Amino acid sequence: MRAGAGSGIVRGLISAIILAAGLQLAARRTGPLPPLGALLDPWSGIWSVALQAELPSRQVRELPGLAQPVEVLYDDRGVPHIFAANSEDAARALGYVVARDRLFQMELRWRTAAGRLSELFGEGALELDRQVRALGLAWSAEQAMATLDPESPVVREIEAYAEGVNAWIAGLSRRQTPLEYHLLGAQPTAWEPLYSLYLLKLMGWDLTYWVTTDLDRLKLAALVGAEASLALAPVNSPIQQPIQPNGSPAARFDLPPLPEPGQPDTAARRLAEELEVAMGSMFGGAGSQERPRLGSNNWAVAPSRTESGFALLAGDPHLKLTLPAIWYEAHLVVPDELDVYGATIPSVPLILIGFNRDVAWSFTNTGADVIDYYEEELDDPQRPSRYLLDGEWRPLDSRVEEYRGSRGRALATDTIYFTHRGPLIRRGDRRLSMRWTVLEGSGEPEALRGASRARTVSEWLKAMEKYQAPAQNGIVADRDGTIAIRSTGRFPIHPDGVGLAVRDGRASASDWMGFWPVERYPFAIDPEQGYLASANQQPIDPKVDSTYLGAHWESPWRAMRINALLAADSAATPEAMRRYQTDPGNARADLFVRYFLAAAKRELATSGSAASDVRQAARLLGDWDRRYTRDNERALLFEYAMEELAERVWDELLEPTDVGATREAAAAESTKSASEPDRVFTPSSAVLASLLHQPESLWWDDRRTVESREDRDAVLVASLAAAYRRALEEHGEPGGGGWRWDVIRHANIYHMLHLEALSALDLSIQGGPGNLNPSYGNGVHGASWRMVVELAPELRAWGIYPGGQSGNPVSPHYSDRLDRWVAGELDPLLFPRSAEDLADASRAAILELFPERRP
Amino acid sequence: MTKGGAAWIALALLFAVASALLGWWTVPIVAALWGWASTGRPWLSAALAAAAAWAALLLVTAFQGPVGPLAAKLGGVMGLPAVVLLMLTVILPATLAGSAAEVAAIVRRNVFRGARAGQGS
Repeated sequence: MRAGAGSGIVRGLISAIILAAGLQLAARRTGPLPPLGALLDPWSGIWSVALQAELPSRQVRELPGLAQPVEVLYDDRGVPHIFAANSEDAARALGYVVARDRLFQMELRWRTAAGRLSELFGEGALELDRQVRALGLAWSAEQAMATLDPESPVVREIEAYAEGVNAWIAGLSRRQTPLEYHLLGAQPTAWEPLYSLYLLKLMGWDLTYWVTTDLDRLKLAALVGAEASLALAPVNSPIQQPIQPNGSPAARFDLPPLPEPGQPDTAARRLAEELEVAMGSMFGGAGSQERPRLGSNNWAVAPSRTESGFALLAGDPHLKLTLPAIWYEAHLVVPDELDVYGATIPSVPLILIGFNRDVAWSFTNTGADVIDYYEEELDDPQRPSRYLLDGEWRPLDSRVEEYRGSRGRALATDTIYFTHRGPLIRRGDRRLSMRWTVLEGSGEPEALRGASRARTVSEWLKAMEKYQAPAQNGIVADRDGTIAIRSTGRFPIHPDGVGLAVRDGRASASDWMGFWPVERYPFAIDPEQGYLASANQQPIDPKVDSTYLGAHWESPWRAMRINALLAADSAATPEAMRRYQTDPGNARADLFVRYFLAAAKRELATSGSAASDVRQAARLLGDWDRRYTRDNERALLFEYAMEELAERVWDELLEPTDVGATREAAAAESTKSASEPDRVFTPSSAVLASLLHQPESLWWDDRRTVESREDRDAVLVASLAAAYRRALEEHGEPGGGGWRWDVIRHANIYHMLHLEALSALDLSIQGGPGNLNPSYGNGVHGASWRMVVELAPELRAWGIYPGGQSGNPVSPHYSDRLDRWVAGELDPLLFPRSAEDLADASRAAILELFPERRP
Repeated sequence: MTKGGAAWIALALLFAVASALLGWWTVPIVAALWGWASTGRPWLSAALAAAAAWAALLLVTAFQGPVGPLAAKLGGVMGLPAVVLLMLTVILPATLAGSAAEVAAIVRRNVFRGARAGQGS
């Protein structure tokens, strides 16, 4: 009896322990695992995500706030065609359907801009939140909202959109919650109209924050002096193929002599350190530690140069690629007011890039200098309340920022100070204020709204005059055959004519003197050449207008290539436009391969005992057609040669500690791996091209070889040989398959939470550095949306983005477009005039939205 | 069907309905009630009924959507084979139900034993 009682107690204890452990796992977060009870619940847990994979073929819902019924037809690509009686209803329905497909993405984006990620992810996101709030994005969105007329159509549409999003959230059962919320153990948060403006500010951050070259120049000056720094990071591109045509069909090479390395500038070093601290670790934008390789293409062809006699327009913005994609396709129809199709960003009731019945448009980033930093003097470095301006103390504005964790627990509090210029960033005794056009703009929603309603190019240009930031090269074409391009946005007029330094905040004379008038924006309409193109190159030839606009221009290789293609095509077709978007030709390779081969040839001619690897490398490179096709086996050698070349030429730009280390290592190794250079700045390949014309410049000397002084050809030959040896070592013999470009280069499209299982990785694509379809670094940037429009009497359009309409990873529309995007294909975009016009075969689902019934 | 079999099916149905309507936390509560009300050792029947209930709910979901591909993706996210994740979905309620039923049964036995001992003295 006693033994039986004892075993019962043991059994009871064991059961109690198992129960306690089970409850712990089921109810509480365990490490990275969310509570398993709610997660694995087969009815309303994560498994219910499978239920939302497909859109119901027919659904009828009430949508509060609607004035009239709205019909939403989903086509077979998952694109909603929204037929509404007025624009507010259209915006409300758009909010509803976008939330249905992309709710978590919307929440993640607004939280990023607002610096409120720690409420979702916990304390690990606190530092990023603090940095974002210090930038003032949320503050500026609130300021912008306050300046907008609450009764204006655009504000009413933003509010209607928010109501649509909230109607979806309100009707959301646990069984309809997106997967990411299950994983995080979180619930969707109600949407506020302000969040739409957050998104526009976030775009501004992504597209302009990293553009500043102030820091680059200061770091360069700290190492090689001011004169050399200006030459290595020049204000004007050494190769001119401007957006605003300059009358020259081909690129002009303005290759000024590069001054030799000068003495280190200690004052520049101090300022560089201050600025680097002030800019924080967000240099890459949107939380990325890596400086993004953003770039985009757009072009338009006049009817005189198209096969059909109608204008053509193409656009492909290159952004960070994510799953789900940054874009969402939608078609909005309001009789007699709006009939627009294109790419919206989940969060805003606006089509950003697209077309209506008469006009098509697209954007590339201008890259203008729209940020300046000011060194401020404060009354008290620890607890400032005033700053000095023109000899008088002026009060600082302040804003208290509170940070909370995932359960509402208070994590931290910061006070952000503002001068009249913008937010003040303070680290220790360093204090810099920042003026940034992105923090001042509020005209974007109205401009983009007007653009989508324009009937002609001139109406579109007029509407876009209100656009402020981020500055964009907007290309536009209409059915009358007019084509135009204009760099649009607020371009500051800097007091000294340039914007390259950290300014003295104590003087109002340091402030911007205003902004460029619209009439002076880089602009072209119906040019004689019959086409227009932009690829983030310098907008205006400085010989036409030398006013400072910025100093961070992408090397013009893509611009040169597209201009060459368009100049050679006098009967352009939509199919040709599509091909050009992933064209494998490369102007950079066209230029540099010639020099490599010439140097190798001279070396082989003068030195009979030239190493066999030089001979082999030259033979292989000479075989190459300089096209970055997937199956080519030579682009690898060229890219390695370019890396080795930069390693040798810019050895003066290594971080000082590395120079010493490199010298010590010089005797032991003849070639240093170029895979991870630690330079303060790498001058552009266009600057490197300038140097090709100075074969004896001191820049060519490889300081690691102390006993000799190299010239251009010696460095080109050494780089080519080293590249060949590296390719052999890393990828085996050429011809063995290891050198194929599709083995080497990949696009990597990560899920927005960086969950690899929900990502699309190692996608082999056609393109490389400097291609129209560029591929750099770790492959996370690329063509985020490709569109071709023919402005015929009945407009036709094609488009694609990597991913799909749905944010649900098991939806057939999560990544259904990836294969075609990788292949460079486009989908025909259905553009029905009415619900009846959408063929039954193309209808995948119908959603009927009705006004809420009054009780 | 035996009386015990019918009771077990009723228990499984109760697990399923309570989980669907109220949530996972009903599993240990229903199991504890079962353990309290049952004579003998109820842990096995409770564990099997809870596992069957959740498996049935999962099956219903699988008929309506791609649970298999979802399991594969979730397995990837969590670093587990998909089958392990699916098994966890039935093991978790089985563990909760079995242990809760056993604890309740032992507590009940001891309460009654104590009561009888009290009457005896």
